[in-house]
Amino acid sequence: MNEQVRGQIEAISQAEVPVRLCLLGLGGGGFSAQVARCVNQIPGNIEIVAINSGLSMEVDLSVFKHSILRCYAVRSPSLYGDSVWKTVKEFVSNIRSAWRILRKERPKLILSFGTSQAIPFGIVGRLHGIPLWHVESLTRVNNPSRTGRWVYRLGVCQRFYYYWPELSPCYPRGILAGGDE
Amino acid sequence: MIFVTVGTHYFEELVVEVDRLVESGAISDPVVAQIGRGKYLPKHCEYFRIAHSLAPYYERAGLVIGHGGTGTTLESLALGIPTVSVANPMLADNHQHEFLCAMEARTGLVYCQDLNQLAASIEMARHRPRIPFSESSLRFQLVRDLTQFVEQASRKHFP
Repeated sequence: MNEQVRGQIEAISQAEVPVRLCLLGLGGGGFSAQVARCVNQIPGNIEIVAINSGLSMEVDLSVFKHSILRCYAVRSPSLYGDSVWKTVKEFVSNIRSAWRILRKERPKLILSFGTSQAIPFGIVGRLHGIPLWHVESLTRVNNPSRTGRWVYRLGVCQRFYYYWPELSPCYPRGILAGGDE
Repeated sequence: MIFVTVGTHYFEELVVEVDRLVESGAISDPVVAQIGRGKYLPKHCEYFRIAHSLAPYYERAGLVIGHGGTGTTLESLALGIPTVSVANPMLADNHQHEFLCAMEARTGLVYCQDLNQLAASIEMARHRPRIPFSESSLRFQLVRDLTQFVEQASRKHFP
């Protein structure tokens, strides 16, 4: 009997549990597909909580290889052309959404590809002990983005990645996403 | 076939210009345009608004004219298709400018900054040597770190 129980415990301890990732800022078709091409490269058992932001509230999530657990629509705190007042208002509402979603889903990691949602989700994540990895926008080659600068300065992310080596002086603690082959 | 793509939003100026070039005969190849939410409907070429996947169009395309979005630009470059990217200045303070300059310096991409020069840019893209560019080289380290994280996290439940 003891042998049997021990065997079962071993089997359970070796079984892989799905790792829950929270992906922020999915929006445009081409952009989501790009995020998917990155996430799809990760082997293993992953389930995704997708946060859909931006102007197009319908996102095609079938591009992801891993299972999509749930999808939430949360408007980004700062879209191009927003006034300061609008940004503040959306930021507060984002903090609320982030609190609700992260408490419920309890992901292991929040992953953000250049979106301003990284700030509210990073703050709430920190309070809940959920790390955030932020990747600076691919479109920033020589100058850091406003979002990137804030995320980096506020220290809401556990790791900060950037794509282009030209940015290394701006983010000395950051990591080059390309690295060595 | 020339494939024109504007992404999820719209880029009226590009669609109008391509339509005009087809009408005037400056573009002789058949054109298929993905026009997103644009109001202008091209009269001289095939078009559709949005598709589940653009892969079948890339497969048939001899040249891609894109709006400079990172996703579409990288996709067509990875497939080795001559690509012309026109930055959409209406979108997020023209943030694609830096990206397109960097890609033009590293790959065979032609960055068209002035829509009046589109016809010339198309010719240039056709004759420019294609330098293969793999998108995954941009994030070796990131994918490695994520893989490691997932591996560790999947074991953490039962130490």
